[in-house]
Amino acid sequence: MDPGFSNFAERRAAQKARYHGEFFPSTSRADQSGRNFVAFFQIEKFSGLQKGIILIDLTDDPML
Amino acid sequence: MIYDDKQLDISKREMAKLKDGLAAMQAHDGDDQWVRDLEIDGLRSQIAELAADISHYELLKAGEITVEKCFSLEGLPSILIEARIAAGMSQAELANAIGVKAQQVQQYEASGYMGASLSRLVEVSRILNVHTAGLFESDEEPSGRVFCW
Repeated sequence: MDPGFSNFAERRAAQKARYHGEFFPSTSRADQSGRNFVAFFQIEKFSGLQKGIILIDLTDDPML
Repeated sequence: MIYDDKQLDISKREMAKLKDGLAAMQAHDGDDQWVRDLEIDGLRSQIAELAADISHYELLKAGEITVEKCFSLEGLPSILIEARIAAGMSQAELANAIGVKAQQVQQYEASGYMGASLSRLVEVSRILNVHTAGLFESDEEPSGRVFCW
């Protein structure tokens, strides 16, 4: 994996510069820790209400 | 960046949840240690960002930050937002001062004042006591560039 993905310094500045985006790995486990992180990105910060996000599953495609 | 008290409350609430999540994750032994470490680093990064935003907003509101400078037009929107907070003015109060609905100011700020006319920016700057210092610099090359801010 590109080492840039593990660089979270300065509000992920290096990631933003290199990939034009940010990478937050989440195993999305069914325990509290996984739920909280995924839930965080569904909070619309102006209203506090829930918003939709796109989930990209990076695990292997079983069809391949 | 936090724009108002409502966002402050939301940020504090979410930061507390993320901290709980971090503690739970640190206590959890997973099979893929490197993924878990990445996830922890990501959580820490997000918590640190929220903490910095909360601190900045609270300092602004408490009048602890009295002078902010920017050196490009791109920095003007955040200066205007910070100046409003430091002035103890809500978005609704600023909206009232310039004769628009509160939602309009909310939209201005959420978009970084993109779409606001120059005359609007000048008006908001005047109300919020934001001043510009003109500066002209030239390297004496006939490039036709104008530097002014």
